[in-house]
Amino acid sequence: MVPPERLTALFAEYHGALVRFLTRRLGDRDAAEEIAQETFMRAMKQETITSERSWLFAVASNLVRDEGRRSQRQQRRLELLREQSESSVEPEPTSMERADERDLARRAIAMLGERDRDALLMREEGLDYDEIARALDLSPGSVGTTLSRARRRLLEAYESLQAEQGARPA
Amino acid sequence: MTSERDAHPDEGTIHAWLDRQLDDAESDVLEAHLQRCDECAERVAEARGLIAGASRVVAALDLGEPVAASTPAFVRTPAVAGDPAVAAGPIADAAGPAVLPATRVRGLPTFRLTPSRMSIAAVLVVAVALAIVHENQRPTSRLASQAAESATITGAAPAAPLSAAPTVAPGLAPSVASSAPAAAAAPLDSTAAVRVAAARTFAKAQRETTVNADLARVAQVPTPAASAPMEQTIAAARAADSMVAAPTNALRGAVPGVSVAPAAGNAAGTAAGTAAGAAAKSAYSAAPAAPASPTAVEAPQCFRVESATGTSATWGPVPLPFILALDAPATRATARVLTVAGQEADARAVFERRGNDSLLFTLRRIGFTGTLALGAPGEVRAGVMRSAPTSMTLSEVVVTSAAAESASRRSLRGKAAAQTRAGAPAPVADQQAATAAPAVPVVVKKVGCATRG
Repeated sequence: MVPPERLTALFAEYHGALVRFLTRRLGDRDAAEEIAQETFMRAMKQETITSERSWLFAVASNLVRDEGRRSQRQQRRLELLREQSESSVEPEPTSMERADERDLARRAIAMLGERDRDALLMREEGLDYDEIARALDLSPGSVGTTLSRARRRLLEAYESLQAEQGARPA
Repeated sequence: MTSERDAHPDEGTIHAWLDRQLDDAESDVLEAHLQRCDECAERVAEARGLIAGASRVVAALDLGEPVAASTPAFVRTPAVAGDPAVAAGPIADAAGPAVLPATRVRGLPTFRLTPSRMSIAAVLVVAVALAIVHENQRPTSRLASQAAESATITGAAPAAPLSAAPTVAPGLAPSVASSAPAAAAAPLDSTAAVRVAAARTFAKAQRETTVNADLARVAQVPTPAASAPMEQTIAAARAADSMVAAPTNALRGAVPGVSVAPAAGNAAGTAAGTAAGAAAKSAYSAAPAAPASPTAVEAPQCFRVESATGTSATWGPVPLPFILALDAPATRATARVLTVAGQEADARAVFERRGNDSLLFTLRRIGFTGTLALGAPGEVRAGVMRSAPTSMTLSEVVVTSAAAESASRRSLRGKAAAQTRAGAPAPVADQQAATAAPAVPVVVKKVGCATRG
């Protein structure tokens, strides 16, 4: 079992990045906190962990995948957010603009394939290609291709959503 | 015939190079090719734009989210001479604001600091500071009397460390999610995080052992808890100790008496002495061992909230332990925050039911933000409490003359109350402060509600 002091160090080092990764992945801070906690609980039960960061991100990704209902809730939440942004009668320019940005980004990221999305978000958390390959069970040589595809598709999706939003009557 | 040096690199290789993930030999080959190939140099510029654009879109996911600074280490690395990102183009930092707009991603909103805005901001900051100082002065005497009361209780039960320590000011402990230097200065907070995990395990073990106890009853096997309440309490106190020291399997082995959930939960937070002393002073008595309703909040309910680890903490201005009184059977309703003596504390809360019948309380008190999440229903619930002092967002501040200061504050209170009634979420800054605040594992015991009056 991983000793408590090592777990504490792991927590201090990676909890923030893991929660950020999961929040971006799920769009739900509470769910991200829960899954991060569960991830560290599982780490605590491991005898040994090699490549700790990629292990944590891999377990977290698997937990996200297992939580199918959560993603459905997230979808509903996004729909709700979009409806709210469309129907608000008391606009607050700054917060609305930020909400729009975030809404667009979430919808764009949701349009990516799961592997592309995970690879991109892990890279944004600073994981190197070897770690991403281990976490997602990819060959190290294919990570660059996966990331380039993910980035291109993300921007294409974002731009199309932006154009779609711009075309809608205010 | 095309040599290896003349082969055009694929897009993945270019991204790997820009991400500094190629080894030296591969980088040399690519860089040599880029010296000769304008087409590939353009592809590099495009890839650089994709990387920067994607980073910005991902960063936009954090807008309004209480997430720590999101710049990953690899982006923070300063550009150096010979860096591929520098050598291949005019842009020094692929993620920086001067990135070539190869994409048409809309920039994030920016705020320009002008002299007029600075002066307005200064006035607003002073106004907010005055309001907060004035607001925070009021509960001081009450806090002092509550601390004195807690000290009295502790004096009757020296074994319980719960109330003896000075109250920890919320927000003073550094955040777990902060960067390495802050984490190094915050061993307490990291330990608290592990305790949160321990508390969750504790709750899980509690549910499992309760099921086991039911099975034992069917088999007519007497549990030790059924005939020895003091032993239960001691066993549960030991369980609480081992929960902190060894948060996993040790718990399950050490808590056979957890079948008596109320005693276990009580002792987990306070130990026997404090429980007895508090019970003697409190207007609230432990609820009879009626079966817990796992469904809705259908009638007025009261919960005694205690630290799961015996540490002192406050929820906003209210020190542990305290009582949460749920008066309304609604999906989102207000709750009163009371002292264990049944007096109204200087705070209120709203609550809402979440999945698996858990409850989420949100502190409503000017100058503070906080949450209290409670797990699955039962006589004893495990939970996590957070709170921190907060400042109002500038958009909420009404600027008036000095004479109208009280009116503007009334307006603010009215706005806060309206938000509460409407169930509106707390402002982003408050949410950020709340979620960044250190987590305090608590145990919550259902108690009888005293008659209001």
